[in-house]
Amino acid sequence: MTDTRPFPHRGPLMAGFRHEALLYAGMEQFVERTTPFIKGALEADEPILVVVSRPKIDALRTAIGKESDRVQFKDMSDVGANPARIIPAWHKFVEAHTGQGRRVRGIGEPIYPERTGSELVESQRHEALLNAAFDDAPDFWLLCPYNTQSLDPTVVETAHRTHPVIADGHGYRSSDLYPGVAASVAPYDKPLPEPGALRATLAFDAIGLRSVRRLVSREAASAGLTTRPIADLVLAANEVATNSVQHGGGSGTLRIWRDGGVLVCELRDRGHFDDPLADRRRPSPVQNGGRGLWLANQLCDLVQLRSSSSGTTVRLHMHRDRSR
Amino acid sequence: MSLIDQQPDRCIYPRPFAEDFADCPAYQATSFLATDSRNQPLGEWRTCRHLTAGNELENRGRFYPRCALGSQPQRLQWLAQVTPARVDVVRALQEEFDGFSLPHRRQLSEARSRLHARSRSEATEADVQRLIDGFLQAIDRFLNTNEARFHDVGLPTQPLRQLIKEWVLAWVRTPEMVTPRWADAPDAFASPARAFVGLPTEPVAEWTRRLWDRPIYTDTILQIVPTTEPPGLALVGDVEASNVQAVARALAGLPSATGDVHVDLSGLLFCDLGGLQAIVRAAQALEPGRRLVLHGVPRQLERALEIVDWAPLPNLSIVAEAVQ
Repeated sequence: MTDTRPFPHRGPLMAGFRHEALLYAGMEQFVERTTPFIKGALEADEPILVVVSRPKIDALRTAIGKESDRVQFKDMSDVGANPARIIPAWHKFVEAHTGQGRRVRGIGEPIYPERTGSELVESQRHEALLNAAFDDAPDFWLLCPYNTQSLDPTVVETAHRTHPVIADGHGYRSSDLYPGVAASVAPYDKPLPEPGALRATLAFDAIGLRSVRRLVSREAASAGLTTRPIADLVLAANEVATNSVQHGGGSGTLRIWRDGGVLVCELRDRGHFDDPLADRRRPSPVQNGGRGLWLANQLCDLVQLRSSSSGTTVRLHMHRDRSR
Repeated sequence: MSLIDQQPDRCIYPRPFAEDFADCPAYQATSFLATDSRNQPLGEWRTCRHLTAGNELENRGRFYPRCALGSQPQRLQWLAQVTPARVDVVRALQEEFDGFSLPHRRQLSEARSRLHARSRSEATEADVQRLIDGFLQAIDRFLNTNEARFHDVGLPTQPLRQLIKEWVLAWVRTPEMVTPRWADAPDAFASPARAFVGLPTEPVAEWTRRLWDRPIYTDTILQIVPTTEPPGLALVGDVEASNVQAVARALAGLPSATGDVHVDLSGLLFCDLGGLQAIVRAAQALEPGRRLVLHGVPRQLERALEIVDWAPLPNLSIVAEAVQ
């Protein structure tokens, strides 16, 4: 179905969450197709946050001119290096403007060619989860640009599965491939690729958490990590392993390997996760427990969570060469 | 009185240390090439940087394996001071150094024996010089590659380079010298670095009077010790799921007098989110006007408090200055 209404809409067409993929080819088209959306927000006095790469921020500032002071810009490589941190950032922005009777707009480009294979998979997962995370948002219009010039066609196709609406600068149409909110948040049980050579394997139970910490710390140091990321990884691995001991059948298995420039710690148990947004919600100070995965996502470069009836797998990734 | 009481600094672990030995958290493997009194090689030995020989007081002339760091609480305090991650980075660097340098050290050790034998020749002299040059070049490459890691643990590579060079030259030229441990001596290092290369640490400032003889709780990784000035507790070691209940009980059992309650965390090696939650809940349980004051909070813990939104609680106070 092709809609012939001009893009972008200026008026409040529909309330609720609008999650659109915007297809473009190259920087020039990026600016050309996002600028009207930003100007539309400014004209309607709607708060807008743009989370893209640094060069794109610069290009948009130039295109918009003086008015760009009223636009919030954030660098996607700060906010979304780990894509699981993007939904909390949008939550924060939307909540800050809720109740003002105005629509809130955003542009976020979490998927770009520099993403590694694992990062890409998790970024696509993030796009799917957005549909559920803001399902009940009062009025939030989010545009996700996809560069058809540099991205693999399969990546652009997946954008059709994760966005109910596709825009291309001339008009927009609803996506035939979009499966709906419920299917977007279905438990993510697609198996992860098996690692190559393992550095270490350890079966642990309640009294084995100290061994988990010791092994993770040593392997992280041997992999070339500096003290701060080592301590971060140890804390994250300990929390995930504690989940295994307390909710995942009392025991689990730790495996550690290196994947090029990344050190991966995997924790597996027999438990089951049924809340796919569990690690995307900022914990409240009064809740008891339930902070482990949130913390892991804030500390690690990437967290991969897969759960099915046969068990749960969490992989924690840390870049080996980074000194934060 | 038991043997242990007489020698609280006795190394309690089986020696020689197995290749994968990891039971003692302060263990720092180091290998050395032993020689007899006439400089004939006696093979390579694995030991711990902190292992020394102690004199038995009761039995003059007899020795026992002594840990230079002191008793178990002193070992833990030392570890907390330098942080486990730092010890692991130093350990990894040590292992990597041992690995690439072993062939060099073997060849040099043999050449050194020839050099100090009666039948020395001009050829031996030139041979030794060639081996020394090769070794020093290899060391240079290693230090350059790992500059960031050395910097991270507080070891400046320039003085280290100079020091190693002098050690190697002195060792080759001086028949009386035993095999040097490569980073073992120097006043060239700042005090935090001294601590983890095995030199005696600065004594921890006794801001708090701890009653070591009456711990409230002891397990293999944690001691909870009452303090009298100021009144409260000191946590020494690891807080994790297996002992968090003990921590919660100890905090709840603090005298319900008036005024603030103090918890000394300067001996804390690790604390999971459950442990943090126990501390936060104890603070919240205090009557209005009273505070739970945390001293010597490890930086890692401070960050975790922030990430999970616990840092700005009205009745939880973090004393900024470190214990030293």
